[in-house]
Amino acid sequence: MKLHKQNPIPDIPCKHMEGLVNQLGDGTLGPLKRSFTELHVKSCPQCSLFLENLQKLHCKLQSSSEEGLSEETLSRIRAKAVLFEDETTEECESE
Amino acid sequence: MENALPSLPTKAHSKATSLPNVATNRKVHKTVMPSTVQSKDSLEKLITKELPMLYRVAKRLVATQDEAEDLVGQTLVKATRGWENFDGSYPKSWLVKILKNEFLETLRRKKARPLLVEIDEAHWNSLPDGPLAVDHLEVSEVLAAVDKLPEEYRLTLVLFDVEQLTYDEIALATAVPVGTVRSRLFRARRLLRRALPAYTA
Ligand SMILES: [Zn+2]
Repeated sequence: MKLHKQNPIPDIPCKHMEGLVNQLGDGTLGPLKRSFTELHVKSCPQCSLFLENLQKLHCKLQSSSEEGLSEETLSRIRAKAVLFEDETTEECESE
Repeated sequence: MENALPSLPTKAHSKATSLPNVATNRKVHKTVMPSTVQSKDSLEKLITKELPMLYRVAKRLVATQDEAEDLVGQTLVKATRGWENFDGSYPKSWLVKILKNEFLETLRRKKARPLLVEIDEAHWNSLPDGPLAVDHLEVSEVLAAVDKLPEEYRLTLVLFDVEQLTYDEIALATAVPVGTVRSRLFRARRLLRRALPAYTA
């Protein structure tokens, strides 16, 4: 099934560039590889769209880390830790 | 304190010999960074700071909130026991490594949640022609797709894209070379895109 027919550009990167574009998005490329990859992305609509989507996904995922921990969950986890600690200590002592 | 920050902890832990080669990675820390504190904080301080991170990662590994709480609880117990032998470097990696080991231990004990390997990588070649409509995706939809990834890809992706660990930190946490982190991330993203709603219609 073909979705999004209104936009003909697929966001599938050139095969030989996929790893480099990933790393460009991650900011882990050295200067030479970075400028080479940036140059390619600028002139290649597919890789450009691929990078754009990678970055959007990254932002969405990153935003999920803003979810904090409720006091209730926090204290439940702490309580469980204490409980587990007791359990294993008892096992040791009973030997 | 030493002048230069050692790139990796090289002592105390038995697995130190198989630690990843980080020398080629950009993110080798030349200066002391907050995430790699050399002066050991107190365990309590570290746990208070990283508990939300541990819980979020745990939730991606197990099926229910209750299991996630158990997993983090077990992690805290092990962290408390191992604290004395921990050299203070890469505290996040240290905690995640404990969490991961506890997760694997749980799996072994009660076969908790089978590792999901639902996505066939070959499908990459049969993706729809149109672009992925990322803008319309809810965060929860993206996370649901993340949960379908094979475990090692899922963990790597979550540590990098959600928790912002560096390649080096992830390499330490998951006990693999940096090159493996890189390739897992790259594959995880391929699979993720395939698992997203826009592609599974
Ligand atoms: Zn291209």
